[in-house]
Amino acid sequence: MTDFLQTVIFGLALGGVIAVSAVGLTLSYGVTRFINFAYGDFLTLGAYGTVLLAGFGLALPVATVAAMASVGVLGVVIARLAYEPLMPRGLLPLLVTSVGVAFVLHNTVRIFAGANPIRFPMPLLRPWQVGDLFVPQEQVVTILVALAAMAVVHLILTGTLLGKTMRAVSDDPALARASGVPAGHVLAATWFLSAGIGALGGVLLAVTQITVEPDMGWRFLLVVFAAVLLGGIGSPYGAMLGGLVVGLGVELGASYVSADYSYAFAFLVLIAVLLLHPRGLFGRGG
Amino acid sequence: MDLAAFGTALLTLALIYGLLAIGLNLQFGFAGVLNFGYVAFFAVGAFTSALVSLPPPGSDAYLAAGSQYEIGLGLPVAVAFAAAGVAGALLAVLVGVTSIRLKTHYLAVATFATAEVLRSILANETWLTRGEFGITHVPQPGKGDWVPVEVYPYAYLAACLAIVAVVLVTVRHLGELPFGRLLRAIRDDELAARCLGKPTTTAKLQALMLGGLLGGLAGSLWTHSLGVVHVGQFVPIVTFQIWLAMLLGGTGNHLGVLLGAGLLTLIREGTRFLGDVPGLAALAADNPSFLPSLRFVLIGLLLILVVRFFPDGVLPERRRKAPPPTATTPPPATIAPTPTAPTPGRPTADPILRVEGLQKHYGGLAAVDGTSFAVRRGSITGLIGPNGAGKSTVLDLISGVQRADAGRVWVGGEVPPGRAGPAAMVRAGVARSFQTPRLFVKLTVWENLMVAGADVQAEGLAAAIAGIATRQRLQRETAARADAAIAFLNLGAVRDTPAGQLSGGQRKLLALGQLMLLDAPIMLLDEPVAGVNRSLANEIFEHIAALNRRGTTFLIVEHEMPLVMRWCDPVVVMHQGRVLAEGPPAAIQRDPRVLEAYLGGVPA
Repeated sequence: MTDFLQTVIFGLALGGVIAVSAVGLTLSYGVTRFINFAYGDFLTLGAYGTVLLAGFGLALPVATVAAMASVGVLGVVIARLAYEPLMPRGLLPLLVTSVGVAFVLHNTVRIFAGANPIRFPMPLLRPWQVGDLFVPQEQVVTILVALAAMAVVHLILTGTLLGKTMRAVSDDPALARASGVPAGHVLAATWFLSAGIGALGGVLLAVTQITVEPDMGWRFLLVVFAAVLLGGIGSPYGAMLGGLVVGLGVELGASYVSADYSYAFAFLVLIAVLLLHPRGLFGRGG
Repeated sequence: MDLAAFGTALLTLALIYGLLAIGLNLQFGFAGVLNFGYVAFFAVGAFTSALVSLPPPGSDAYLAAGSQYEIGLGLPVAVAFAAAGVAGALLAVLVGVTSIRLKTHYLAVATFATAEVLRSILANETWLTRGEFGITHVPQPGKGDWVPVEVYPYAYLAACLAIVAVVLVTVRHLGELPFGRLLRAIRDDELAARCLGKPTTTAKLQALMLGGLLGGLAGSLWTHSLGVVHVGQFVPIVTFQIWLAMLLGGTGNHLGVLLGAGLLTLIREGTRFLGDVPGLAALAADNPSFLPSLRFVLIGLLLILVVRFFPDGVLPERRRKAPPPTATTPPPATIAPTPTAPTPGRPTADPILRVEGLQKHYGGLAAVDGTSFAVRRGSITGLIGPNGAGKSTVLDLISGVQRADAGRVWVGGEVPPGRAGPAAMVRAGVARSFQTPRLFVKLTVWENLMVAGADVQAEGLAAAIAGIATRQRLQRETAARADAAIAFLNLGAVRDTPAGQLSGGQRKLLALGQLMLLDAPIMLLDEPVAGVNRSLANEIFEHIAALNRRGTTFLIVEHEMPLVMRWCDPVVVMHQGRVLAEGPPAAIQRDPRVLEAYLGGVPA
């Protein structure tokens, strides 16, 4: 029982990381209708950016926010240069270009930071002991930050004009355009939010796994895809739920089936969802 | 470095990448299957070939090499090569059966994930693959045996060259057969192909399989050229290097793709010399992953730049020219292979097509709300109504393009399996055109007609490989009919023009021509003359009437009232998803309900 609860705690933390990351990806899909294969690298950049800024002496939370903002701006720049000119040409050029962007980004990180893992500058925290259960504070922090991030996303989507516009564009792009939604601004804001949230996902991932390495985001991408598709692509709340399910699934699978295949479980979930229910288990759209 | 040896290694690598790129091009450039996990076929081929040809565990060679793998069949390399192809094809069938129906980006994600699952298995099942260590001493056929070690790389290169040449010739030939033409049609517009009765899923699956086969063969060539195989060789970037080779060369053109692979290899291996650039050498000294990373940055940048500025690649798709028409162009009557008219001339009372209680809702909106009517055999029935009355949706429901929420369609007294989609409806005898013609834009006018007229029997992969005599006879018959249709529709001047370059009127004519070649007893036409000038519109309706005299039944959605009144009888009027009135055109014109629906009120 203790083992099980222990696994659930790790699963919830990983689920939080995935959920946050999935929200960022699904937001950009809702507005742009394409799956950004370079999204995983926003996670990597967020984590490395935080390491860099913390190295200049910034407090970790400040470094994180600054890294999120920088990655957000980078996301807008990349989209303006690489994606937006291709939008009239359909899906395929965008997909292939986003793969190219992904390779450029994580290999650039590798050029500057080297291929070896770097320790994330999180102070060592003593786990809390509850009965027989060890509750690592890192995991608790991750869960709390993830919950807070999702609450903020919820407030943005429901309480601000930008959020409402994004939901409108996501529901019916043609109608939104016809109703006079300034597409350029919404697009830019979406790229910024998506990349910034991705950066936060990367920091949380770094906290849970203690180290960062250049292709952490690229390798994590399919896990995020699994959550996004499970929740119904384009649906932020579905993505949150999908993230939790995938996180728990990966940890439970690793503990009780085979640790070698932990991520592969997520990929199998992903393939199964695509085959059985391409619109996702919880969501609409597609 | 020995320049000759380096060049040989480079060329061998380029040929293997060329084979991979041709395989991917068969899947993507010819059948439009978006495969982001192509490396999986390469990996499966490489491991299969190694394990089939390695000496069995416990044998002298095994012990001498100090090997530790658990499976080795010790079969000749030729057998291993064939087995690798089979393994690649089988994996393709597995991927295809499960995910070929997925839409573009889902398919991309699913194939990407499949390749990663496979890589995860290859990395973790160390008993099979030795995991990250890999397997060494993979046999190199004939090395030191009947080919001296010094010239072995050259001999291997020659063998690769011969294999790739055979593949290239075969694949190019395949592209011009009905099978290849159908694949190109599917790539241009899959729904249109299904509306011509084509089993598109089967054709795509076969293309996927051929691509898998080539990927497997390439894997075999790769592993025997190196003598080692390990899972680290099959990371996702390999897939995208193959994509880059294909895009560089120009999709849809196998020779171009082969050139693209050569270019890719040059660029890739050229980066080896980056270390000789003075400033970079110093940087590389500090960071061992500097040069490999820089290479991947370059590949990523190239991928972005090629897609953006160079979408047609080095060699664009070939311009195809149809064989000249047979000396005596047959009269139009021969367009249809067999007369299908039981009672030409006058329509009979029995309905050939009947719909009952059709319903289709979009959210809260009922586009079609309980529509029932019948089409008499041999008639030209008009279907009219104000915008939004549900006419086009009714055509979609009858032809199986969309599924009705409720209601039934009878064709000649039977309920065809409409849930099976448009292809099943075509087999039941119902063909349709679209309001905006859906043509195969990169295929020529002649090819568009050939696809429409081709027999399913002639189009299969089996017919492409065997059954040459039957296929050629069927081809000749279809070609004669295609040329008759071209003459009938006055499209002779644009016979070899890609459909994407036709004018609006010519597109409408070509769409009608496709239906003529398809020769369905019932044709549903959605605004056949919208946007066409008046004299051509009359001409099109005269063609329709000529076909009708030969026994074809028509159901035509049309907005041009003078044409409807002149050519159609009876006329069915739809309004707000229901049938409002039905009868001869003269009666419809006077019907107060119809006037109200169109004009919003009867003048007092």
